[in-house]
Amino acid sequence: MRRIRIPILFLVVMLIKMSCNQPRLNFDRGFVPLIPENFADVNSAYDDYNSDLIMYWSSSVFTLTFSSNRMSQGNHFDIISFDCITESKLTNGEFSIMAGEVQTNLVDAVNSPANELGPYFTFDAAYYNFLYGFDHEILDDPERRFFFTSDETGNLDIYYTYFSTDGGILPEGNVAPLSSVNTDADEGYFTLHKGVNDDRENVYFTSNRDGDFDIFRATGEPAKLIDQSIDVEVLKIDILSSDADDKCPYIKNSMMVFTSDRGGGFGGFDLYYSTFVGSKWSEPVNFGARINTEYDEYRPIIVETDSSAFFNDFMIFSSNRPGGMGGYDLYYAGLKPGGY
Amino acid sequence: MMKKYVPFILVLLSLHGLTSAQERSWKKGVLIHTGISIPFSNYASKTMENYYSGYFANPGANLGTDLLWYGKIFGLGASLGYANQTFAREAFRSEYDRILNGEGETTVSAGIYQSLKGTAGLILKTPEFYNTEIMFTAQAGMALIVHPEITVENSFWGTLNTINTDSDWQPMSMMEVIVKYRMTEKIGISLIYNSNYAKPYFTDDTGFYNGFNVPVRFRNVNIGILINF
Repeated sequence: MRRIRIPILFLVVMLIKMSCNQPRLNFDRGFVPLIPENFADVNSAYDDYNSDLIMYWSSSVFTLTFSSNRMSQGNHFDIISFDCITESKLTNGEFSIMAGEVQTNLVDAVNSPANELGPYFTFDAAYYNFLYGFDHEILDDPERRFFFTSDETGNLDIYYTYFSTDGGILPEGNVAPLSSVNTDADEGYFTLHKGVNDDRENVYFTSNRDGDFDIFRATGEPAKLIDQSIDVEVLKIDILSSDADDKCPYIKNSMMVFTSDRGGGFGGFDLYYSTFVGSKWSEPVNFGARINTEYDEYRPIIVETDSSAFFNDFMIFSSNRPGGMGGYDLYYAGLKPGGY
Repeated sequence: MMKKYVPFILVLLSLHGLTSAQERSWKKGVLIHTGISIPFSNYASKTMENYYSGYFANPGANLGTDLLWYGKIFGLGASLGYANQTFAREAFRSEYDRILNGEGETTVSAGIYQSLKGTAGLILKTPEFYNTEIMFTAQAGMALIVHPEITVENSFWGTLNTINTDSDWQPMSMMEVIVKYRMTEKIGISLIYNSNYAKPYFTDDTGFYNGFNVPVRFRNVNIGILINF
């Protein structure tokens, strides 16, 4: 038996060696196509919009959280979560995102019979290393907060709760309104502008306190988070606001994306971007016909990819354009390399 | 007991008969030949549609020499050959344009595939008829295969792909058919067809896997001169 074992083993090794065929890659990195693609794995026949995500390991895996009225058959919006994996085939350039719904305690804690919209995580880089596990230095970051918008009191207000990612996305503490920013008017779609003022936290949100929806900045007290600040300075950002509705600001690094139904667009709500240069925002620019349609494009977010693995970042937004699965659907589309 | 040795003895006897018959007519010769080298299979494929995308090899040239020692039916042969296949740059660029939806202008620079092989093996041949002999050879050996440098630039996306020139020694197998026409006792002309197989591995410093295999498959169609000693 031993005499034939070695030749058999040799044959098996040779067969394995011969069958190993690593293809030649035609792309050094992956890229996300610029044409919007329906995010079919997460969409339903109901309205699905208002997303944000927590990115994990090398930007390939993320937990997408968004609002949908599928659970109430169209009656009200709740926040739901999907775990997603991006796949970029470096031989033929194909890009896809696979997703599966997950239950998270955080989502269960914030949902109510009212509408929950505009989720926003202040923390988006729980770096996972296969050799060393989670980077605990990041996980110990005290600024892991989850903001969202709800009309539980009759008008839209911003709420928040702290959370942890140790064994799932878990709420820590109670859900509370962001009282220093909320008014009797509508406030929503909170986004953080990181790194602008190390001492004071800068956040942006949308509000109709002046009539139509405009984009505002709130600056917290020195050495305090915005939710710990009582005396908050709120300022309308004129260059980003128009006579029409300007909503859903979302900032990644020095780029803000938002939606507006201002004149000069392609119809309905269109997506715009502005860049922070020096100490101010640039004039908003329409994303153009590649992204915008005569229908509504809504609540864009920027997904920052690992630049060693991808040529470009991408954007997730919602639209009620024809060809979707029903109502508003989520779409993803690549951004130009190096931003717009 | 003896029964099971009967076929073996028969084969030995027939081989002895054949080689005895050949003893009177063993020849040694050198065949020098050149012609075109035609890639085939996935090596010649010009699409990136599949996971195992094509390798975009186009026909090239080859030069070879065979040392032959042969009798009436059997013989031995050794072969040394160089072959190259050009790189289908235009087809390669066109695939990038298709995938990128024409975004930006793509430029491709690429060298040529090259191989230098040394193989040896057996010859099975027909007896001479009308001054003609047909030889079938199966050979195996080693080959030094060179992968060309490839650079793909796009005015919109930047540098899409960079592969440096690399070489690899790998086993190579070859099947060959030689049709030889004897013009004089010493000189003949030949038509040669051979098919070559190897699977070298090359490094790709900027690629995700840092390396890749190429299923090198090409056929040479040559003409040559056979000089008998």
